[in-house]
Amino acid sequence: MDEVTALDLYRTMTEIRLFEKRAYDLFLQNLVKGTTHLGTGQEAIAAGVARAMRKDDYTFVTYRGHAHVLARGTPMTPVMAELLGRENGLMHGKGGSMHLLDVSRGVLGSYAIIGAQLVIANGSAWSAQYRGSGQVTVCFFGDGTTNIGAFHEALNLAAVWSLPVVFVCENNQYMEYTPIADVTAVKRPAADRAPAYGLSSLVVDGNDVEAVYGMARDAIDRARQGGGPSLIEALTYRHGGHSRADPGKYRPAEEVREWMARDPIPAYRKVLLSRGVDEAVLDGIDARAKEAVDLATEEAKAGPEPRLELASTNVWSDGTSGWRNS
Amino acid sequence: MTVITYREAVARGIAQEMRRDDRVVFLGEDVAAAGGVFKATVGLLDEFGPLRVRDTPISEQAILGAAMGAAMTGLRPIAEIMFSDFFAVCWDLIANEIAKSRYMSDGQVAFPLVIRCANGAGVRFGAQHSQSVENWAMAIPGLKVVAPSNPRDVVGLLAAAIRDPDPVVFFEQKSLYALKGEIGDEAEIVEPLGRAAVLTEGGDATILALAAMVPRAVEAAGRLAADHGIRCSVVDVRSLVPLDTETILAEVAKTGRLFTVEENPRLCGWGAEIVSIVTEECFGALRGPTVRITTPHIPLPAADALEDHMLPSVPRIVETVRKTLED
Amino acid sequence: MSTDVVMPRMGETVDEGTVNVWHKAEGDEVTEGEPLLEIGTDKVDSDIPAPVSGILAEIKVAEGETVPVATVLAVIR
Repeated sequence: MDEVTALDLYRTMTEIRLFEKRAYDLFLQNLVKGTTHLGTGQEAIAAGVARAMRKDDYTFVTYRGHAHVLARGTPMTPVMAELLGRENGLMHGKGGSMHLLDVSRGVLGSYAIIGAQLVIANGSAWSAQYRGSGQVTVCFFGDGTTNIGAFHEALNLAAVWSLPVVFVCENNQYMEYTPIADVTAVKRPAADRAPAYGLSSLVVDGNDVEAVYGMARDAIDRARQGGGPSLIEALTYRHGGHSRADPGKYRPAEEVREWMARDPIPAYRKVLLSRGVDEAVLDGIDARAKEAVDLATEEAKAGPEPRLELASTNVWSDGTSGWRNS
Repeated sequence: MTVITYREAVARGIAQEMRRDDRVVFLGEDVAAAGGVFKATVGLLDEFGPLRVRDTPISEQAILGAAMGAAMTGLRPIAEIMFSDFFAVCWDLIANEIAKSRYMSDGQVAFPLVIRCANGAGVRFGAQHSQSVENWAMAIPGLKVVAPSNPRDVVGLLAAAIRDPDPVVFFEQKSLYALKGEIGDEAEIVEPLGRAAVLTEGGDATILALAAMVPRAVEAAGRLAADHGIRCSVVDVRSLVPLDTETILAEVAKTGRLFTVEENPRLCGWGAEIVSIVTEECFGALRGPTVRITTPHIPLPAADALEDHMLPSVPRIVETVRKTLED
Repeated sequence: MSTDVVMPRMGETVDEGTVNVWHKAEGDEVTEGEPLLEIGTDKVDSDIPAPVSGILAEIKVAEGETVPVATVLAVIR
């Protein structure tokens, strides 16, 4: 891997890490309302896959999607402001943390209902196939999703129609508060289901950003050439709980320690240093990432609350929300 | 004057729009090679080919998901859900995803799609294949809801629905599929959404009806006039969202007596909403209580004698209107 | 520069929280991110990290006390 790409991957992961950390702090200060789902520890997947995508490819993700939106190039300020419910938020405060969508960067949304984005991702893939555009759709979801009906419907249809879609399962070992092994009939929740749909079992260390990038590259290129869908299982771990109200204390201490030792960012830093990258360069990236997060925090906090009229706009394409003609 | 059946009108409306716009695509179970289980989409595969008219697995969530994702990325899909009862199987896509995603993104995406289905009773399919669920869709902000009562409106409203930039749920009443009607000779028929149709005028009472209840209301109005000297206006509501409150309120104000004829079960039927609007906004014009004539709040039985007894029949409509006005 | 540490809302229906244990004392140096105190709600007990580095200048709510969400628990300078 060339140094430019490698540093870019390091930068993306670092920015995501610091952004998520800041989101947590803001939640504890009651500035992020409701809840939010952080991807701390899983950065290598969002960063590695995004790097393998074309600018006009499509991303679909779960409610744990800040990382994936940032990795496609959405600036930090509107994402942070959306979490704070401000008018300068990505959706002017109307969607919230779980529904981040940036059509200008191909992020066709973050989805709160488990499994929904898989069947919808087939649609943008079908559209690209129909229009002959060569665009590929990448759809992210968790291990828990592999047990819901929509997962199976989506995989089957994608395979039958040979759709240009890559499904990426971020297996962080837990379906919300429950170990995935306790509720899944097979050992590898995604990889062992793939053959049921005529697909290869693909497993990758989700904390090795270059391995993720490589496997994603292959799958995306294959889809783009008309080779049909893929299902990738990326093994990883959440540093925090499922959501902000969950400190994650149901996980065994030994398991947490083992996975923390495989933190993707320090691991990649070590790899880059071993290749001769100057430590000062990496420190510089860290410093600029912190500045970017600080600036975004300032700009998000400075954002006004949304004007009340926004509550009644954009149900329909003409910008209105009316249902009657008098 | 061309006469076709309600089911032929479905294929005609879809074909009309697929000819003029190659972004229109169509998917569903048995819709292509078989021409649909109700034979409502015969001929479309032959004319438009397998890339535009697609048979799917039995996967309602995947069908609507594909329609939604395609609609967000430049296509104008028509998705068939074979029986409206099956909305319960894919309700997340309808109520949570398609209806809400434009709003949640504050306008970044739009969903120019149509979900069409076979709705309603009268064909002895039993409780899970006979429901009238227009009110389910009406209750969800973000969906347009249309229910034609005759072949010309099938063509016209389906065309308008396909051209609409927003999601439209299009309810075809299965008991009407064999109904014949004139459709006119224009090359293109488009009937705007959001407009009710006043079918007959009479000063004694206003009867609002939808879909399969429209012909029954019209027949009942005929008998009320002939046998009891009671003259009724019959209004085919046609579009629940957008709702033509302008026409409805004006018509009710003329007579001061409102009846609805609803195939749905009693509670929270589409008529309950309209009656509530009338009571709140038109109270002074009312000369008596508003009365809803509906199927009782019971699942539908399969046996023909039982099913016919439950649905609002012409004699029940006549008797209810007569009794209310004469008491 | 003075930063308030406030009682967070640890669940959608939770309006208050209890200070279970202070991990640091008034006057202690604290580093951003290190656990400052443990709070408890009827749903969950959770460690709250220091939002900034500095001196834990004031502890305003003692162990065992239950206060509404958003109450200032401590000040870091």
